[in-house]
Amino acid sequence: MKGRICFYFLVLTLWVSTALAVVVKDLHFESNPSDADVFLLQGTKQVPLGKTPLKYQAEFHSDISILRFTLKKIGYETQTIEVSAKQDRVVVKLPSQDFAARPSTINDPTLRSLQQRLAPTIDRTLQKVLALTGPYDFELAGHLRVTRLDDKILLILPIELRNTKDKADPTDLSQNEVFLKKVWDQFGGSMVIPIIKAIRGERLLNGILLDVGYSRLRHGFEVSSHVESSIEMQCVPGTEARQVYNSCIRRKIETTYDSKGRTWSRDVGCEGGFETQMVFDPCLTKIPVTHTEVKIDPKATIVAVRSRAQYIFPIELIEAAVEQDNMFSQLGILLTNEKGETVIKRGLIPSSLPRIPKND
Amino acid sequence: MIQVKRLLYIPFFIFCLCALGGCDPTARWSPLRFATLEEAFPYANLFDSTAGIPNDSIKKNLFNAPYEDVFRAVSISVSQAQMLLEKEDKKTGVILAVRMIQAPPPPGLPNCVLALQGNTRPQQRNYYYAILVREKGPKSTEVTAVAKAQGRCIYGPCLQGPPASTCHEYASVHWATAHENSLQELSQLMIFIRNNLIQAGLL
Repeated sequence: MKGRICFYFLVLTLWVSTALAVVVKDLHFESNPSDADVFLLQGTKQVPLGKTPLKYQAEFHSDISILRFTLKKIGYETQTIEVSAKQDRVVVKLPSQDFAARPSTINDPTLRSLQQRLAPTIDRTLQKVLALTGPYDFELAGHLRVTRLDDKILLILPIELRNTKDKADPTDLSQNEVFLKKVWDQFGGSMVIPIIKAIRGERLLNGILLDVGYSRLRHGFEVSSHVESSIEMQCVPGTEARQVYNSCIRRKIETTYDSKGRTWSRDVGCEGGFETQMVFDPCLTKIPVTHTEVKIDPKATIVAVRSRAQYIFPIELIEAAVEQDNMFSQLGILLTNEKGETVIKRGLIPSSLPRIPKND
Repeated sequence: MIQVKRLLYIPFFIFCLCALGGCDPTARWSPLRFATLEEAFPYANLFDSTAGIPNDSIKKNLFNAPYEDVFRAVSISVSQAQMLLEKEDKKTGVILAVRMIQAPPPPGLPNCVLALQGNTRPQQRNYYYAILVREKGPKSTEVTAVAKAQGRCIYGPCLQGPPASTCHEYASVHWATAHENSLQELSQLMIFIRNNLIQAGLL
């Protein structure tokens, strides 16, 4: 009885000491700029906690524990921090992201100096407009860079659409126009026009190429069939004449004479020998028989296919003060499918537009 | 009447044959019920001292990563190692898991000649795992994993060969050693934990 009480006391002490080791603390997260998403990291798992400024009740395993958090905001570098149980307040500065490509990465001296002049304006402008939302979730697919296409100099704005269900299927022509308009409505007014307005004084630049890439899942179902044939030797029964050994093919008769000339015969046993008999053979001959079988192979496939919509926005549209509603009809537009084949092409499209890569 | 009497001899002959072969035609199964994880690891202070645990039933590794991340990595790794996680407590750092397999019983168990071939065929074997995640520092966490096993043994009172008592040890919960490959299993678990920490960018 005493031993049992001691055991339970020991268990209770261990439990209390372990439970007491956990440190629960209110952590105050602030970020510069504010409104950043805060996530608690647990291995590869990211638990969303809210937006800064944020008060979060953190549970540390002990007073020496650390927890890892990550802070994200569109247009700013993601920051991962470690917070110890001794801290109450966490202030994180999120450095702004560079949107424009570094001029040193451009070989052409004219384009390099143009990129140099445009980069600060592009970074500043995109910083302001990136947080704007629309029907499509997206991310910048690369840095903005000036490039020469035919005799034009264009600023390429690469966008990648993500997790969007109503992306147009380039094979479905009825959806394409709606899709192209929706994409332009989201990115034209909120990104392309603000950027071009900010850099309109730059005479070398002829326009912006809004390059929108997107993947969508193509569901397929196909049934293929093939014929499998095999040749099998099959027995044919029959009878044939065979030499068969008979141990008693005839009786052996022995004739005996006596002194008075009398003879008599006596049977002394069997005599063996071969004889011809008709024998039944269940597999007298074999003939080849071909078996054929039709095999059906149904296949359900889900393939991610990449397509691309490219919009050429000439700077003259701003100069000519074309109304925003009428701009869409005056853009150069090229929609290509996963094979790089043109689905829609209208307006002025440079011949040297970069081609779409093959499927992912 | 004579016919009926003859029929009565048949069970007698079977009994005699079994007796000569050294076994009882009635198979006995042990255990009738497998242990639960709480029964396999009944003590709350299991990890206070690891003395007495066979070397191939325990594996200990130190990871240079925070407790929160290692605990999560262990929790994922348990499933990846085909163990069924039944209990996890982040406060105490204890994770209990079980794995049920069909495996041939080890050699040396009673295996009678006539009716009882049970111990030559794969039978159910349970592995019980207790894992302790212990914080050693802000970025240093130790993982200790121990394994026990319990297997099904089918036996009869054999006159020859190993006695039925050898069954009882195998059929009761015991430290998983030697042929039970527990060290391989535990090492595999540690590899999964390490891979998950690498995946999280922590190692």
